[in-house]
Amino acid sequence: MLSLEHAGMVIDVVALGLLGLGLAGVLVKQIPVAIGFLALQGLLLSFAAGSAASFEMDWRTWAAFVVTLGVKVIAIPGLLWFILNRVAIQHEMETVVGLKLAFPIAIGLVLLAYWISDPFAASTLSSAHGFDAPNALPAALALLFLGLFTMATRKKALTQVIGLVTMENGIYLAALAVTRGLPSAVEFGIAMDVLTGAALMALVAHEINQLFSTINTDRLRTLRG
Amino acid sequence: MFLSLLLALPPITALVCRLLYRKRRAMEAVNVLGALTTVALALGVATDIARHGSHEFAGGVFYVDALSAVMLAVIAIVGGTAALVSISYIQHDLDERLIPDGRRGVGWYYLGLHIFLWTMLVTVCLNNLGLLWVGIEATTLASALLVGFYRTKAALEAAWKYIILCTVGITIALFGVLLTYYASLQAAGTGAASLNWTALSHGAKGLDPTMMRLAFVFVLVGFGTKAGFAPLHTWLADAHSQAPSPISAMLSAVLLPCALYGILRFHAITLAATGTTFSSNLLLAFGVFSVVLAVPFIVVQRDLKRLLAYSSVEHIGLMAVAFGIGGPLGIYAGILHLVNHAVTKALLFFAAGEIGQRFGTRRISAIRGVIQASPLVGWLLLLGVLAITGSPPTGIFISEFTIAGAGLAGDRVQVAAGVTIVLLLGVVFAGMLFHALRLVYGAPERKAERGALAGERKISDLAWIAPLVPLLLVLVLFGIIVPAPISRLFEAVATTLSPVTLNALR
Repeated sequence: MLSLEHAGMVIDVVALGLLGLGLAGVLVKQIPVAIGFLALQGLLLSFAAGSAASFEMDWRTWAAFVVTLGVKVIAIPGLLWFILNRVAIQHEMETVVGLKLAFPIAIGLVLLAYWISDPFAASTLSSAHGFDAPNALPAALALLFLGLFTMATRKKALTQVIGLVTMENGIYLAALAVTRGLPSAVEFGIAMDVLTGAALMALVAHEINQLFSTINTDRLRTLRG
Repeated sequence: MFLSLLLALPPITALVCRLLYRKRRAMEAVNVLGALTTVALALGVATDIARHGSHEFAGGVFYVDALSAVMLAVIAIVGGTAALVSISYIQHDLDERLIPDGRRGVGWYYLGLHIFLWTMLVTVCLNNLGLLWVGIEATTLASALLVGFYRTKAALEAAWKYIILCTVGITIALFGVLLTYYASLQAAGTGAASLNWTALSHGAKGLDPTMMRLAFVFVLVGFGTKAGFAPLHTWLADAHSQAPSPISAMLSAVLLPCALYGILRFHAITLAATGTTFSSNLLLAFGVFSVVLAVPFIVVQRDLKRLLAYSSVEHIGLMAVAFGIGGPLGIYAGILHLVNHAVTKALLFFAAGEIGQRFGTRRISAIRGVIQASPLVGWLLLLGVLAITGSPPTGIFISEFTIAGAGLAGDRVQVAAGVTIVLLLGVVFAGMLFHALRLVYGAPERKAERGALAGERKISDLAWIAPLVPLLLVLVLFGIIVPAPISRLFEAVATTLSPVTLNALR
């Protein structure tokens, strides 16, 4: 049984960890490492969900914790790993923006996230309904931006899926911190959607590889106009 | 009672069709039976709502009001017709060896179609806006594999763009849902906070305006990506043109409006919470921009189905304009246009599918003399294009006229929107008619074999057009008069979405 302050502190630390992982994800060169980082993101989120569950002590929040663990730590990274091994590509990532430029942009995005969250931290989004974790909302927005950035600047289809799941992790953190999670039925639905979505994306990426012998999405240029 | 049957049936149809893939006639029979029953049940629910008003089911999980009723009817009718048309369409593709897994692929197709139909039916009946989000993402996932069905390079590219762009958009919308939940928590406290439409619409006035404005922006951008608003529509032409034509009909005619349905629910709440035209003007802006952006792509289009896809962007823009104008007249025009467009666009995609199969190409420049090759299909295409561009006496003429009228009767912003729309519609008319006339008239090229054009089709033209007759009837009927019970239902939609009702003391 965790107190409100302690739960808030755990979530705050988790948020900072996720921020670090998000930035590290921008620097990563090998896809297997990126998948590992995604699993780590899931693990940290599970800590956050676990501390929320320890505070609420409601079977529903515990169930949400278990589902988060299962989907974000095991199922999705496992799926991506499985597809990676079935697909005949090199494990290096290819990027549109060189790493020397990507990192400053990533830092810029994190600062943007903090700047946007600033007015909310003090006034409207107080900890009245969420947890007192001042770094949570900025970290969540940062993950959203970094995920989008990854999707926009990476060429390999699997990496785009990683970017998408990163975005969704950001929203999950925001929900935990701001409203102590969404209603349980909604959370389950979201988890199912995320899992099914990742599975379908992996399937389509696999099919693309079969046909194109690559999963570089910049080769997908047949359709125009 | 009808509702539980309606929502339980499509998955069963889907599964049985897939299991029966070896027995063609049985599978087709199940498909037809399932489709017709779904339509009957949906119309049953809609009539029930029209007579007795909105209703909660299953302890508040489901909630069907006038808007849901109209959506249910349209989804079922278009989806059911698509299922019927699919039989000859898919059989032809199977014979031409265009389907990767052969007969098993056909089984997957029917499974996919009915599951896709089911996700849309469920989505418009849900009370909880968070579950509505889940439903809309589910419709994306259900249709993604159908978009990539033929597994050609182009189809896979389309499926990839579709699933990625729409999921990114919907993830952004989730943030808006979260903010709405926060606003509800602020207003009501933990016990009574809710994402249920029933609760939110009653308590909308008490929601924090700033929070709701922010929430609406995220929801509009997010669901707007799925609805095909420009500039977030880049996935649409690819997805709608690469999918099998009956699926394209469902995508354009009813899936886009499903996403718009999500926006409208949040729009109504934001309208009541803020009491300003913030959300209306945003809707107007996206709507006008969509029409503007669609026009050049329509005029210089070379692919028949992409032409129809960009026409859908234009029309969803028109719907957004209508709902953005709002008020009883604007909402009536919007919902009327939704229904008219669904019917007309479905007919056009069915015709385009038939033409594509007979001529073996979708390139407009390569197709000539459809009316000679098959008078029925040619006439259907011509009438469809005339209808979709708003020629009287069709439903779309009436709804576009009403939208323009509502705009011109409003404030400065709305008048500007109305005038822009009217001018652009003229350009669209010219562009689409130009393409249609090239296709339809003239003599079939000498290169094309007589046999292919004369139609070595397994069914006669009349058998092909039979399922389409109800759609044709609606198209023409609504151009003359909207029958009173249906008109009353449309007016009820205006009441459901109007902030006046939402702000009324209970």
